[in-house]
Amino acid sequence: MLKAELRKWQKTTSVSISRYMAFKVDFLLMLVAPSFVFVAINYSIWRSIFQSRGGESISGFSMDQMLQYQCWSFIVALLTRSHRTWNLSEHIRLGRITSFLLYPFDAWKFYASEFVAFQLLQFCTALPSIIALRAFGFLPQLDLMACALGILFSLLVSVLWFVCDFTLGLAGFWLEEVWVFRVIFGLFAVLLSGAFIPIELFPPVLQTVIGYTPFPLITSVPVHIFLGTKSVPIGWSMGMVCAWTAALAVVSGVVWRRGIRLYTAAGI
Amino acid sequence: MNEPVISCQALGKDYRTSRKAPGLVGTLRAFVAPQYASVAAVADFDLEVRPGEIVGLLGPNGAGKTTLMKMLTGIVEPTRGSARVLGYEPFKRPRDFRRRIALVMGQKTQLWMDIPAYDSFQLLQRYYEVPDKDFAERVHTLGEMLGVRHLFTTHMRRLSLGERMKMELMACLLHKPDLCFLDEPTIGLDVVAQKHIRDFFRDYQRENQTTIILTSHYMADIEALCPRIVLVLGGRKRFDGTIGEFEGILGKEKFVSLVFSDRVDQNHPLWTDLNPQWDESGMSVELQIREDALRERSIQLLSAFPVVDYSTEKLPIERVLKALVTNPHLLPG
Repeated sequence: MLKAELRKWQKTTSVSISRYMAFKVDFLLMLVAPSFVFVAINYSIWRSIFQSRGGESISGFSMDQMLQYQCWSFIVALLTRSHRTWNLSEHIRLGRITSFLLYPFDAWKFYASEFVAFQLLQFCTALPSIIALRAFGFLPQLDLMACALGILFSLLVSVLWFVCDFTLGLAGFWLEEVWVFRVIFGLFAVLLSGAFIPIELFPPVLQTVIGYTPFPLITSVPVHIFLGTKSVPIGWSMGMVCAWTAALAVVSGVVWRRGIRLYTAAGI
Repeated sequence: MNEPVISCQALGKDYRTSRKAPGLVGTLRAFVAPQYASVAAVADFDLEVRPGEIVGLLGPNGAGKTTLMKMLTGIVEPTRGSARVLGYEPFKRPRDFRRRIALVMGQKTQLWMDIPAYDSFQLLQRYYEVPDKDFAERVHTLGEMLGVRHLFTTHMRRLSLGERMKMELMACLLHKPDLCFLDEPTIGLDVVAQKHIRDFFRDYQRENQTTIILTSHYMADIEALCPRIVLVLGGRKRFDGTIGEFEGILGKEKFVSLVFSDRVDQNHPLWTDLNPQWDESGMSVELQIREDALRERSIQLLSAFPVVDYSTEKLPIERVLKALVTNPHLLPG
């Protein structure tokens, strides 16, 4: 029984990889584009900011520290944000989840397998990226233990992201268009997680408020783990990621059961 | 024993639709205070289907055929009534239920377009837990029957519509379902491909005794495959019987075609009560003549007009359906 189930996951994952790789140019751009955007925008902006201030530190961040923070933020983004379920709401609206209601392999498992497939590819991109960043001098000597912990934590966070995306995608049962929600949520997530501006640079009140949300867990905490910051409570943070993931998984289960009753399988 | 494969009582499905008056005012009003209406897509539907039956669901667009199929496959939840399919409540979609059914949607592909069909088959093999030996045997047999073995490794998006549909059929039969729903499986195909698929299903069903529910706008599909017809009009079942009984609803009539050597008087009293359908040139006509009056009326027509060609056949099912859709009061009950 378990073996048969695992084989379903394994096969769906391998077919998903085949699908991602079916379009070579698209696939290669998918791997290269994030790095290009990172170098072109994020890294350059912070470099310019520091240079315009004559290299003066900002809230305790020197230019080198900030650039390292941005490098690791990029790696964390590669390892965590697959956004493979962004099209779930569209699939619901266009009746494309119908097949998954018929197959003896649930829809969420299919999307989860797709996510695993993409994460495997992203993981294969992230490792060479770390090596390249080190080779070109963007990162200092690597602390292998910090790297291993950072990767482990990031993979946990990627599951949280997946569940979060999946839950948001289920809004497609009620709404014709959900991309505005996604964009708003994405912007909030980038801003409040410290993906662009470290949370330490926020006003203390906002830092306290953000501390009660899962946002710091998705970028700030893993970046600090990669940076080897001693004050990060890794065990507690992992527990929080698991707790948020479990809570969102329960919510998505409830939302799915309610939403599927409204499903009309439009288009067939 | 011989429990019904499908049994539903008073099954109904309502859809909520938004209403918007035309123009900018209508748009603003719909934005501020949207109005909704409930539309019954299927109502009070009773149906019983025995193992091995092939049932044709007939009806015009929007009659509720596909909604009925969606409810019976567990895709949408019924608003009212009850349904049991293979002993299961469809909307609960237990895994064993899903393993035993299949749905082919002519208007929607279920296979992955970015990969070859064989990769999709292997994925479905895992989903349905088909043993390797059975899988290899079925892929071989179905591929031979449909003549598509040489296309297994071609990407789906590179196949023609007919070839794609054959792959869809293979995919839906790989797990040997007990019950197969075919929603317009020949739509968009040329006549040769349509016949190929009809012949395939007839042979497959004969061999496997699979229960099949078929909807199609091509009456040739229904005539070739379905001994039993269920007519759906306005979401309700209006007829349930054999194809012979269906053809007999309008009375025992023959369909007669005449071709003339010259234009004829279309207002001649002989055409009265024969429901003449003239072609644009006025050189040929199609008539409906009662079987018991066929000889007498034919002699009259052949004597009165310059007929160069005469043919007769039983009333085509299309004609019966068209007459019943436009005149539902002709239906019994």
